[in-house]
Amino acid sequence: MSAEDSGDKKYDDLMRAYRKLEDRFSKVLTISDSYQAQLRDVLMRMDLMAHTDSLTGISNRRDMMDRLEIELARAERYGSSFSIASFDIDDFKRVNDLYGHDVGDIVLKQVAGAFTENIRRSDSCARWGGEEFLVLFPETVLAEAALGAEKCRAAVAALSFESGDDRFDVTVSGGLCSYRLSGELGELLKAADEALYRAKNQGKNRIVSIPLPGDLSSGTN
Amino acid sequence: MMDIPATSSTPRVRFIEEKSVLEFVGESYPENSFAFFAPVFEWLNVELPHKEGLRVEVNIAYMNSSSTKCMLDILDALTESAEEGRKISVTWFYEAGNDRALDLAEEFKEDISLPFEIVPRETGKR
Repeated sequence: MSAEDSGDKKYDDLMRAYRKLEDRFSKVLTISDSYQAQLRDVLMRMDLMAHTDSLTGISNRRDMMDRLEIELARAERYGSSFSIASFDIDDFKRVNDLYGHDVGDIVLKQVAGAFTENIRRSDSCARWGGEEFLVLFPETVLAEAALGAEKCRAAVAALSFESGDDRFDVTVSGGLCSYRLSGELGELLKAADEALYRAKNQGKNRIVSIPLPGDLSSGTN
Repeated sequence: MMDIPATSSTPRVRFIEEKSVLEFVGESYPENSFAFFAPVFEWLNVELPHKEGLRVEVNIAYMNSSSTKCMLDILDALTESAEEGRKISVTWFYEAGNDRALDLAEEFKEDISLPFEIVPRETGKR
């Protein structure tokens, strides 16, 4: 083998080794990118799960708390108002007792659907607890929000359910209040619950509004 | 005898003598992958030459890039060992229904001349 041939061979070997290294490098990158993409997918799913109620697919309590905090900050900053409605399915325990939890779950899903379909795009609705829902009406005064809450109530009352040969209806009661000028979130949520309590006491299937202290608009029952 | 217990960022790596199986189970993103896998390379260099054959089972849901590099190097070492006449095969587990994980398995398999089986694993099972 001449010196020249030997040089060529060394060069070829080097090139082969280099190409192999380059291929390996690309492969590691491709594989790593794919693992990363998987992680991003999982992260997105987790993020969605963290904000969503798994049964109904609407916002969960945590997500609504975030929205309320944002709305409160906005209202404080710009001196605007917003309203919240606390809803509770009337006699839901009876539905579960009579027809079972599977039917109860169907009711929860359909009620959530009725709310979602009947609020404005800028409003939001969350499953607040077992059979409790909370609707947020941003930049909306009490009287205007009362129309929205009433629409939700009527939409639920119009639903019809079946279990075996039985057909039954479901109603919701709602307590409505508005943020005006000042106040804490806890205070507002308490006022909404108080209004809901009154709605239940007044015979259910209705919306009761109460103004907060400092609220200049009058309450409508 | 090799049995490295799993941690949150490293897989369990053990050689099961009776079955002639070298298995990797868990996730792999150690701070220093090269240090973590060093005992494995050591084992491949020192112990594997005395074996007649080996089945390698890989059940790793996630690997960082340096672990990926180490795994490809392990597959290379296994290929060389097989070329010396040893009967070596790889079984690669991926999460059933996860297309990306299946693609990844194919990616590892691509340049390897060893018998390489890709097997779905039910979610939640290892």
